[in-house]
Amino acid sequence: MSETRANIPMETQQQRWMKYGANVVLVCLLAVLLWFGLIYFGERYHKRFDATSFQLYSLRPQTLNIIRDNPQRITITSFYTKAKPLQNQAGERVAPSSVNEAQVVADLLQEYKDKGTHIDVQVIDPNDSPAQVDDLISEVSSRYGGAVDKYKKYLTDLPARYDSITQAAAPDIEALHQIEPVARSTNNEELLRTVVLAERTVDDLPRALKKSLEGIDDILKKQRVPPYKDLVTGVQKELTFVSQWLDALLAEFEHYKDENNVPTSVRDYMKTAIPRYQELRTRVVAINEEANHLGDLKLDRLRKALTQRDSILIRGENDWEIITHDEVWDQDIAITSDESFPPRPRFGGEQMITSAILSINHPQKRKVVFVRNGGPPLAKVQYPLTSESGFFSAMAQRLRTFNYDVLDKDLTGAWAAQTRGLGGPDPSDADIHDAVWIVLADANQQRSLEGMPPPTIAARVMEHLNAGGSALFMLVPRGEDMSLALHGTGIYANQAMLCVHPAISNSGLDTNDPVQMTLRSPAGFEITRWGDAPMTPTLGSLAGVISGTCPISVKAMEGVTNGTLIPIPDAPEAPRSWAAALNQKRDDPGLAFEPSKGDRPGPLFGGAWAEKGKTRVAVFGTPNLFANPFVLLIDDALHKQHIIAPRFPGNAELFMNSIFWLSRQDQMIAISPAAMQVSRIASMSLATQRIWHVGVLIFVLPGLVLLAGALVYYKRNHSR
Amino acid sequence: MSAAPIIARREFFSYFYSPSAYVSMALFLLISGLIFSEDFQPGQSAEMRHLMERMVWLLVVIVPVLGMGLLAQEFNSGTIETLTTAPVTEMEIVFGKFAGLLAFFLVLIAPTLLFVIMLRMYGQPDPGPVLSGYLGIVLVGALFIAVTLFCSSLSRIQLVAAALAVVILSLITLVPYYAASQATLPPFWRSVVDHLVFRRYTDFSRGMIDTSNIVFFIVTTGLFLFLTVKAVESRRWR
Repeated sequence: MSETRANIPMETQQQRWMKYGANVVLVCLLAVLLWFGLIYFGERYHKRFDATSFQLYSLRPQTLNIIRDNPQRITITSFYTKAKPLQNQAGERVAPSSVNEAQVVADLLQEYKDKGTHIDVQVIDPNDSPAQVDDLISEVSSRYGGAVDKYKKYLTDLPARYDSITQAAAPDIEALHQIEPVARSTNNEELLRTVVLAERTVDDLPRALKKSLEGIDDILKKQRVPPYKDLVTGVQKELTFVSQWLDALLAEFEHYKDENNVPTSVRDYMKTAIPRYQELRTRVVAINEEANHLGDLKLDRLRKALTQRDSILIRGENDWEIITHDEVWDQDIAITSDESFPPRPRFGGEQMITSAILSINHPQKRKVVFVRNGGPPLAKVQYPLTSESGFFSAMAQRLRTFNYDVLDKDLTGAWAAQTRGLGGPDPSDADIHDAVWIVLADANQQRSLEGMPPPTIAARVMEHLNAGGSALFMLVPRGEDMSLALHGTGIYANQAMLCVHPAISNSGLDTNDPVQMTLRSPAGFEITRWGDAPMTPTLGSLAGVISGTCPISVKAMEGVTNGTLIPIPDAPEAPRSWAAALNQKRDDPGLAFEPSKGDRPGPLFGGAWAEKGKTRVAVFGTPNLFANPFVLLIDDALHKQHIIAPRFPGNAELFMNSIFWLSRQDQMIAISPAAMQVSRIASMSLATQRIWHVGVLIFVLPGLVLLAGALVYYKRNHSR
Repeated sequence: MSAAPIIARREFFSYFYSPSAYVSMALFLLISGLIFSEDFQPGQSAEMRHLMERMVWLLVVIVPVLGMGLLAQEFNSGTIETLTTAPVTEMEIVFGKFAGLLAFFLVLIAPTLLFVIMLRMYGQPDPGPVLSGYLGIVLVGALFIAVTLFCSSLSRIQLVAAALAVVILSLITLVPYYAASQATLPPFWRSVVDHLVFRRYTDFSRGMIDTSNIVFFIVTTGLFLFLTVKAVESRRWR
């Protein structure tokens, strides 16, 4: 044995290192490869679980309802780039977004793909794959061409049409050259100016038209998706300019053709030229007019959206929609009492994408019309929202994002008469017969014109309902009596009364806070229960506010399903409420329930609903419930954390759910992404706060740990 | 693996005799408390997301301090020879030490449950993000411990091991966080940054549990433990 051992050569250290080291390196490499493989498969086949109670990172029920029943193949493509520019187009330094926008959008789209039917998702980074973007644009333009062909044809036919104009103007060029010296020989400056103007117009016209055509040709050749709409608009501007010059010349010719002090040759020219110039003008106007009938060109919107930052393209089988970055990352324009923090962009991607899918699946938009009895439009929007915006413009905008066509109509015609139609024509009766009517009949509008009886709209509304239409009523205390319109629904509203509670003292409170002021006034109530109605099941305990509502009640009726909404808070959970006659002083600090004055005890309700056959009706006792100041008010506490959430989300949600119900889109009734039920830390005194912050968090907790350490150290030392 | 629990128990209790552990724990709770006190104010939303995200930054330093001596001290004092000659495999040694520190890590973060109780007293925090946040913290802690253990196996000097661990953890956690905010980061590096620790962890803190993130943390922890075993084994033939 010892001889055998003596024959075995000893390994050197280097040999050992080589043998064992190579083995270790190889094994480690394999381990790293295995690591890569497991991570890759983990990424590829993964599941996400939203652990939040309100499913904040999951699609909303209304979206799930829509995409689960999606009938056609929809492809959603994200063009978000991950690398963001440091400077915007105005050269201003732009701070990088604290939100990974591309990732947020990609996560959202993945949810659509996972939870939807017939929905595919693509993510194309234009920086990484510009060729893919071009291919997609080409595909969109060829597949959904439509109006593009009309624009192409218009531009293709332009040279021939310009030629005809040039040829029509040709004879006048020589003639004007001949009469120009004659006009110059007179002392008539104005005549000379007219002749020179005519000469320059017809002289320059062929050159100008040719230059325009060259520019158009250049753009059509160079750009893969030319800006057809912009090119046609440019042509229209030029032709408008030409026709205006021709109009001016024709007017001058008409003036001078019979003037005795004008030389004969000039007069003769003008007489014979008038029909030619009129023909020229007719041709120019015809080309211009044709451009107005080419139709909407969405492709330009696609091109513009893709040249800007970050868009989302949704394609169906026959139509497509594009959502720009600013439509998804919305800077809320809101009323808040604290302007010290700039709002962080709010992600409205789900809302916009779902609306786009709806729009593609239902090209025919559903309509709502704000009908009124005079006064300015209610749904008009001015950006930013100003006092010139309609009182319900915020809700109108919200409706538009859900693919509703929002119209405005004064049923009395008084506003059009007052403004002489400057605001544009109202929709016709045919336009609004299938719309959901949102009725506001304000008392202030009920002024008679020239001694005529005040115009009323209740009868018109009743006709609409009797024809199977649906309506949302915003009753106005002391406004037009809508009982005629509500006849047959079992809903009764007393517009001569107001729901009130005793005034609450303002002492010790911030009297500049409008919310506090409203809730403490006798007619103001904070609402956290909305009642049992088709439009309320998802409202839960969302906060809302109602002020100045008249009491509404229902009675059972055969053939009618109806119920109440918005129970007015009452004792014992809240101060006692009752219905008081409007002639009482509401700001009276001693306001109390007095049956002798006609006051009516609770329970009271601020709204009601009814369904009879095809007709659906929702009635609310005040228009304030949905007016801009109430729905736009921002939660100040959350605003300080850079979170935009409405202070009273219930108001807007009730409005939207009511419209969904009235327009028979019941599947849409759910909380929208904007509403936020956020648990907030309750108030505590400053002393309590200090005890927690300083006492517990800074001293007690770490102190206990150190004390434990000291005790252990002491025990160990003494036990030795 | 019968020796691993014994080693784990021994390691776990040894921390209670170590002054540095108490100091680290007190410091961790003090800084966490300061961060939490910013959020624990009337009117603020009752959640722990902000605290949990900042906690990860603290752990980049705390965990290496706690774990720097796990193997480095054994190498330095020579007790590793006793350990490796005992009927204990290197894998058992590594897993035992890992489990011991992980158990102490759970004790380290346990007092933060007081913050949850405070929120519950004054609000109604959503339990989902809180639970998923703690799951994320435990997974991150396990990964940090594995990295620290690996660094400890590479050096006899504890401070060197700690410094190396801090550097590695910063590279996979803090640096990507700041890099992600750079607008001109090339797409490749942006993709790398998105797949590292902080971005994955923020999913947990906001209430999203993604299986790919769980796989990442577990597999990466396993990789570092494997590398540690190989580093310890290499002592036999070096």
